[in-house]
Amino acid sequence: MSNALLEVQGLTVKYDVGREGFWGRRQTRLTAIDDVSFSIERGETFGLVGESGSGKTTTGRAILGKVPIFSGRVIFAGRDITGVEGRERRAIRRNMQLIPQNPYGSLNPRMKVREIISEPLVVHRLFKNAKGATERVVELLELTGMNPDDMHRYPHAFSGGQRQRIVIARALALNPDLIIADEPVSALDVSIQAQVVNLLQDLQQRLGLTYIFIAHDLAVVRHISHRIGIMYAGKLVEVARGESVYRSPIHPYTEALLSSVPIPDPRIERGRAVKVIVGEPPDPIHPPMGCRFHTRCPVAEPRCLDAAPPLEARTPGHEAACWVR
Amino acid sequence: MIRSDHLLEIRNLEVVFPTRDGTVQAVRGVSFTVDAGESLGVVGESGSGKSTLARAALGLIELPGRIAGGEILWRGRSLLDKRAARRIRGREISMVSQDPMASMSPILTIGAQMTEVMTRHLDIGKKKALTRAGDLLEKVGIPDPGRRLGQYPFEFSGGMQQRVVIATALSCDPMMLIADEPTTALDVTTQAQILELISSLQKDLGLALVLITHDLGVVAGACDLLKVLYAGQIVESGTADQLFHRPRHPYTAALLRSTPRLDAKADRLMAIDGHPPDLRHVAGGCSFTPRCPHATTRCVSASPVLQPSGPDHEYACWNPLNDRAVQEPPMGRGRA
Repeated sequence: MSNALLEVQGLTVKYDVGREGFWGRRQTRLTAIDDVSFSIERGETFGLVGESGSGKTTTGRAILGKVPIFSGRVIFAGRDITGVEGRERRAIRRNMQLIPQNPYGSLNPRMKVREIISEPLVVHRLFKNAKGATERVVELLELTGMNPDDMHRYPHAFSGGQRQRIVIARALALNPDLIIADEPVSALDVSIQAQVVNLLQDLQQRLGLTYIFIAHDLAVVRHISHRIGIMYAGKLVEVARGESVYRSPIHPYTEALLSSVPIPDPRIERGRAVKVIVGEPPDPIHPPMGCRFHTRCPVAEPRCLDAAPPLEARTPGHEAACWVR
Repeated sequence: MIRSDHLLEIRNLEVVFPTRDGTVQAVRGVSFTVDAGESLGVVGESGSGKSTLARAALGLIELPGRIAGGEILWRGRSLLDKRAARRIRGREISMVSQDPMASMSPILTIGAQMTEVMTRHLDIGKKKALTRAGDLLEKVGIPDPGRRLGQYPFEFSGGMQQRVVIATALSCDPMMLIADEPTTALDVTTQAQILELISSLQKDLGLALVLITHDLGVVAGACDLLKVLYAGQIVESGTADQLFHRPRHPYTAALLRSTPRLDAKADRLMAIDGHPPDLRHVAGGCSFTPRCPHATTRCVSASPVLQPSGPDHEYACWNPLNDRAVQEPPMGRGRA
């Protein structure tokens, strides 16, 4: 683990969501992520998959320092950055950038592309103003497959795919080591999605970037990721290389998730028995005792109700949290 | 009455939406038929006109949008007449859309909403309708229907809401169900549940199904026939097997290759260069030309029309792919 760029140890995030009890004496807490641990090596793409409410976005936000951490540690480039704030946090954020999902909401419609892309450079005082950063902006636009002349236009002039390229250019402006991409292609059409996925892969090769790729679409995640973490109801239930997750899943939830993804091939789809899992993810304020998946699990045993199974290595590089398998 | 042996027949349909910056030609001369019991998938990306097509078939194009040409026939009767469309909609043709919350009233109980549809279209009383509503909820897999009927939509999860919408859509024993991106807002495990439900209902009840989606995976298992829409036109149409395994139109082939597959790891996705055309300014020729690796000068000057190539297969292309080219992807302009 010496080469790890990022290490997350026992990360837990709780949100206050109101009060309950007599006269609201008790704070109601929603545990968004619970005891999440993983590490990412330099130059690697770590895919984080899960359904809505599984905690994948919160994990990314906790690493970026955008939500308070209840317990656990985040170690970036060998340094504990848990709870670091202010000037030090700003210095760390230069090396850690976010690509958000919605390319329509994340670009200020009243700023020209040059101002948008140079904003992080100006904020971090590398340049005095947008004009001074022109050369770097041109470089970034070319890097992301855009035309340098585009810097004089406003976001509305661009399609969804082009906007996402602008977002990527902005994220790269400060030469970060780690990029956290939260559903970066899920708002895009499939033909455009492929363009952006290919661009992210090219950039990784050229710049040696490390990615956390957060998405609900397992097919995209498997395509781009070296290793994949599967989340369910705030817990990391399985971590393995993409190939192993697909070929030899251990956790029953991973199996169900894989089985739910439709394959674009009618011959395969017709002959395939989908293991439809019943029910829905649990209430995050009152999660079930023990393993959180036991309410829907086809192989659950009495012990699954008693205690939550720890995430443990089964074979080198393949971890799973399940008592039964 | 115009003669038509089909359940639904759409002839040369044109739908336009005037905007301040020009008129959007959303659907441009689309013709197809749906027969009883058929499952048809309509696949296209945003702006391809797939949802507009569905709304047109139900007489739901709202001003300033209008049907500028063509004919929509339901069992031989024109649905361009709004009154006729209103009688048939919800009764003979039902619709399930992407957002279940938008299809329901937030201030009425599920029971009230379901019985309203039935008392309006069917000759039954409230009590009988309520019993039937309970049966329908059970049929779509909602446990404890008696209690659920008294609840409001917000008390249901997304997947359960979509089940309620499906139950309501089936309440008047329709002959055809139009499902417009019915699972797009749902998580993948819930999507699998809903798709299985739609497929089994379609088979059990002998419904005609029109499933509209951007997701090739979704139609692969649920539909026997497919239409691929691009820039408001059908570019290829055929059986699911034909289109997935031997597509002739370069767009169909490119769409398949740009879709990441869980069961096969490719080093690189084959992206389609550029983006779809602006439908306010439609140029002559084939709309896919600027993105097509096989385009020639002919494609710029003249629009190809759908031509049959086999019993259940049509495509609109001057330079179609041959079977061989498809198995070994042509060296196109796939790039980052």
